[in-house]
Order: sequence, then C-alpha cells, then structure tokens
Amino acid sequence: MSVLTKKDIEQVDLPRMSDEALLSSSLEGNLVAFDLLVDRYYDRLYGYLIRFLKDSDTAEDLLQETFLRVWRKRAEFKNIASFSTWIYTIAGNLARSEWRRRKRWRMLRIGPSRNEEEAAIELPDAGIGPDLIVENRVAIEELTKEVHKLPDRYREVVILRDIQGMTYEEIAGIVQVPVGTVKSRLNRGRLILQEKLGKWHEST
Amino acid sequence: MKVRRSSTFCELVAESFSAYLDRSLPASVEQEIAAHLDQCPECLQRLEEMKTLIADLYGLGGIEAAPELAWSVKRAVRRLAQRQADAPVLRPIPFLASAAAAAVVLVLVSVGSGPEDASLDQHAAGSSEMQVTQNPRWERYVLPAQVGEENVPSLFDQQAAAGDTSTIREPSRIRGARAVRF
Repeated sequence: MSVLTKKDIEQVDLPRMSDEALLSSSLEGNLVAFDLLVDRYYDRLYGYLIRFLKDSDTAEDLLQETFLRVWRKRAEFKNIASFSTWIYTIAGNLARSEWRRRKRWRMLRIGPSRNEEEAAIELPDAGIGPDLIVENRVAIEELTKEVHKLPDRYREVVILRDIQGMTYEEIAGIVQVPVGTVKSRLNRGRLILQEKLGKWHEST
Repeated sequence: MKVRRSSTFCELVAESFSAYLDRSLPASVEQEIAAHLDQCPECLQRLEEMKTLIADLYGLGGIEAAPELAWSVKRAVRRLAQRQADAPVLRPIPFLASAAAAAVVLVLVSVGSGPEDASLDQHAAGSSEMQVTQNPRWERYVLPAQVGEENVPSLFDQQAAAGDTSTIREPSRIRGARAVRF
C-alpha cells in the first residue's frame, strides 16, 4: 500500500485552492499549481485581449507574455489586490502598450493604407455560436466592430464590465482609475454604442 | 413632483442611465428619473435600448480559446523555469566587490597622499580580509551580475528569502547570460 506524502496531498488539494494560494505554491517551484492558474485564466484573458486588439495572433502572443510576466514577478505579488485584478492589470498594460505602438505606426504610415476600422474582425469561430444572446450574426459582427471602434478608455471598461462581467471595483483596480471614472466611462461608451448601432439599424 | 422635459434634461437623464440601472443613484435622483421616464417615451425607449445593448454585449462574451493555447503557455513557462534553473552557477559577491572597490580607492588615495597614510591602507586591507574569512559564504561570491531584467524575482531571491543558501544561484543576473524574455 502506497503512502501519500505531504506533497501528494497538496497536489490533490490544488484545484480547491484559491488563486493566491496557487501563486504562493508556484513560488516554491510548483509548476502544477501554476498550470492551474493558466487553466483558470487563459480563456478569459484571451477574450479580453482579442476584443481589445482585434487580432488573434497578437492576443495569443500577449497572453503568453502575460503568464511569463506573472511567473517572473510572482514573488512581487502582494495580497493588496486579488490575483485576478493583478493578472488583468498586467494583460491590460501589455494590450495598451501594443495599441499605442500600433497607433504610432498608423500615424507614421505614408500613402494609402489598410483601413483597420473597416477591416474584417478577426475572431475565432468558437466564440460565435448558438449560445449567444444575439442570434443574428451580422448584428453580432456590427456590435463587435462598434465596440472595437470605441476610444481606448471606453472600450476597455465596456469589455471588462459588459462582456467580462467584472465589478466596478475590479475594473478600477485594473485600469487604475477611480470607480467614479469607471462608471462615467462605461456610461459614455454605452451611449456611443447605442448611437452608432441606432444609426446602423436605421440604415439597414 | 414636477417632471422636467427638455432636451437638455433628457441628455442629463441619458448620462445617468448606467447608474440608474445599477441602482447606484441617490433615491431622490432615482425618483426624479423614474418620473421623467414615465412622461418621456423617447428617454424610456433609449433606456430600453441600453438594456438590450448590455444584454447583447454580455452575449458577445465567451470567446473560447483553443486548449492548445493553454498548452503553449504552459510549455513557455516551463522553458522559462528551466532556463532559470539551468543557468550557470555563478554567485554575486557584493561584499567582496565593495571591499575591492574600497581597496582600490584607498590605494589611489595613498598614492596621492604619500607614505604617512600607508598604515591606513594596511589597516583597511587587513580589516576587509578579516571580514571575508569570517563568513564562508563570501568565498563563493563572484562578480555581481547584470542582465537587463533588474526587477525580475529570481530563484536567488526566493531561496535567500527562505534562508536556503546551500544551492544559491542567481541565473537571471549573471553577466553575459541570456535574457529569459521570449
């Protein structure tokens, strides 16, 4: 009869552990604990990044970079914020940097260029299925396109609140602005979407 | 209650839709907006449209990433962890480096100040040698390392924090070592 060691028992308990406890375990070199964090967050973070950047390749790259940074900086995590807020902050900072970099390139581009606003939205098919509340695929694509056209500061809070279902407090921690600012940006973003989609519905 | 109906007030109401739906407005303001909505079909329609929009946005969620993506991330983390663990065992020598720097300074000062300061040099060299021999850890120290990841926590930090200095190593700060960024 085999005897379970303390380490074996810890591994069995890992799925029940909090994010913070898993991160703490990974500090001792436990890669299985870190794998569980990847399993818990890769989907959500990928959704956030792809909606922010509208580019699946870059979203995949930044997703990987996010987890590598978490691994490198895991000793710096302080329990002031939740792990969720922390990892979203890292992903958000990467996404914003990438977005700014793209903006600079767009400004520097000379001559006729690909109009990214009109470009086809590159989303994996897996996300557009029968579970969606909006049934009309054209409407979904239009809505996705309009979300992407929102100014950065509005787009980010709309994605985090209305698509990812985060609380205002979590968003304030990720975006690093006061809760009141999150609320006003969200409202403004929604009103812009409403206006744009209203015009789109009228035209169709 | 007198219900105002003007385009300006309608805009003001629209600006408060999110807070109204969240029930986070003061009770008096909420009542005023509710009264306005009873009287203003345009605003009521905009509010209903916003509710639909929020539901539609929520419906956009749930992009499923391919499971291979999670595996790819895990493999990348393992490679990084392996590189950190496999890096050559070189150890920092902060105290010895400081002592050497101090000795160089003292030698330079003594060259400039003449033979009357020679006893000071000897004293300094002697005291520094005495400190080194008092702590066997310093014997393992080598030059302080530098790779472009100054704020990266490392196995060195973790082991040192845990008080484990038996296999202490600092791969990410070794001079000339490859940076572990992907």
